[in-house]
This record gives sequence, structure tokens and C-alpha cells, in this order.
Amino acid sequence: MSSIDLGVSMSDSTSLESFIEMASRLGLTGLAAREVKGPLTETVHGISLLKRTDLKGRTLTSIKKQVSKMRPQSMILAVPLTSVEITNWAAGDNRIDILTLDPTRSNRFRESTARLAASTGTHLEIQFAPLLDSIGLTRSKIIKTYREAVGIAKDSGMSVILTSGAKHPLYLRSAMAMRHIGQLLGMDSKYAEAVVSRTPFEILAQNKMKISLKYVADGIEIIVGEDDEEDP
Amino acid sequence: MELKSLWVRTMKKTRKRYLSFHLHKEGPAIKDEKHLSNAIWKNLLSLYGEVSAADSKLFLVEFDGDTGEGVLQCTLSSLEKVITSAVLIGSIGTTNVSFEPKKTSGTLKALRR
Repeated sequence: MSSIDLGVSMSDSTSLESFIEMASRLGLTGLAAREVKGPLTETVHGISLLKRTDLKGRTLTSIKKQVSKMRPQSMILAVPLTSVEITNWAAGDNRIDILTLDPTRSNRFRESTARLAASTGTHLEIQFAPLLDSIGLTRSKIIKTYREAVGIAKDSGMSVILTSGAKHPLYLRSAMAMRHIGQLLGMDSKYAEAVVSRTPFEILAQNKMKISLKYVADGIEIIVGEDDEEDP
Repeated sequence: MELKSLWVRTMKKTRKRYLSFHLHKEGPAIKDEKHLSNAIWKNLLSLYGEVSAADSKLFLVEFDGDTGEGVLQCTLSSLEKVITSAVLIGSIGTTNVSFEPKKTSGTLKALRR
């Protein structure tokens, strides 16, 4: 079982090498991080590096302004769950790949948002780094928030992805470990396996297609035949 | 005689499982395997409670502090809980760690095959 970690938060680009080494040891095949420089996808030592952008802004207008600019420059585009206005807009916009749940904030993940996201193919991102940092009551509250969100997403048909949110290479986990964390968060074994080892690859394949110049919209592509290419 | 057969049947129900793992680490080596064992026990207790921790019959069969390779034993019914508890360990003392479950088996022989 292999997986891609679509949410890594390196402190700087110099630690990229140690993340790649750790990912390789754990059997991961890819990492997505803000600190990835250069092209959208690049393979280093057998690990695919994907450029990820987290859109942040106080108002919806500021986020909207960033989307059109950042979409062609990012393989993964994420928006954190903040106000209802921003969250619902992001859930309904198919340029956004991921809605990131922050367990420390009080913003509730609503069923209406999940249904909207399910219709556009936006995924709910659960980062497990906060679970490694905490213990006792604090961790219990995080687990509660995550389990509720996963339940709502599952019931609404919204797809979930599990990422590390790792700031340190040792916060990365193997695919098998991630599957078990998924089960802790209320996923059954098969669902957790799909979340870890299928959904990230599907997002990647879909985005590669979207970014290609031939893509116009869902189901519409520019197809150029060999004869057409030869014409002046 | 009946009591003995009942005892044998009850004993057979608690099936054991072995789990091989690799503990990735940064910082000083974990020389005493008790530190790792305690860390898993603590997480198991915190996540699933005293009864589940007791029923797990968790036991660290072997652990090499230098390579990070090891094997632990627990009951079949608690295997998932034990793996989850171990995976959520972020550090042991001052050493940052990442627990990687590798393979599970019913016997040590099959695990090493």
C-alpha cells in the first residue's frame, strides 16, 4: 500500500531533503507542500513533489482574487475552513481541491457545506499532526471535532483525505499507519484504505488533466488530430 | 474434566498477534525498550481506557534501539488499537520518533519469514 501526503508544512525549503528521505523510507510516493519550488510536479529520488497553495485572506474578495492567479501555479489548491461565506464559496468552486479543517478553531463544518463540496468534487482535509502534539483532554477534543467532520462528510458523499500537516519529517507516517489513524477518526477499514491509498492519486490525476492545455471544463477537452497539427 | 475443557476453550479464544515495526528516530537512541513499551501503554490507556489497555496483553517481544527494528505482541482483538496507539506517538522523552507498523502475523516464525 502506497500513498501521497498532500499536506506537508515544512518550515523552510532547506528541510525538503530530509522530508524526501523520510518519505522514501516510509514508502510514500509523493509529497505536496507550499515550499516546493520550481515546476508543479517534479520527481526527486523517486518521490513526486507537488506544489501546494493554501489560500488565506480575511474576506471572500481577497481569496477570489488569489484563486485565478494561483490555480495554474499550483497542483493542489486548499482553503482553510473559516467563515461560512468563504467556506461555502470554496466548497462550490471546482477550482478548489481541498477544504482544510482546523481543529483549534471554532468554525463548524456544516452538512450544507459538505453537500455542496460533494457536488463539485472538493475534498475535506484532515491533518493528523495535532493528534501527535497533544494528549488527554486536548487530544480528545480534536478527535471529537475530526470524527464529527468525517461523519458529516461521509453522510453527504463528500470525499475525505488524510494528510500529515507535518512540520518535521518524523511527523510523516506510512500508508498503513495513516489507515489506522483514519479508523480512529471513524472510518471503516475499507474506507480508510481508499482515503489513504486511492483518493490522493485520483486528485493528482484529475489535476494533471485540468492543468493541461487541452482541458476546457469537466468533460470538454481540445482534441487535435495529427492532420490538424500539420496544417499551417 | 469439564472445567479443564472449558478453560482450554476460553484460552484459545484469546488469539495472539505479532507485529513487526520500525521506529524511526531523531536524537538520542532509545536504549531501554521499557521507554517504548511505556509510551505505547500510555497512549493505549489515554485513547481507549484502562479495560482496553489491560485486555490488549501488550508485550514488547524484542526491540533493537540502534536499528529501531522490533516486534510486539498483543491480542488479536486489540491489534488495531495497539497499532493506532503506537502510530500516534510523536516523541519518547527528548527523542522524536515515528512508529512504522510493518507486518502482522499469528506466529513469530511466519513474521520472520
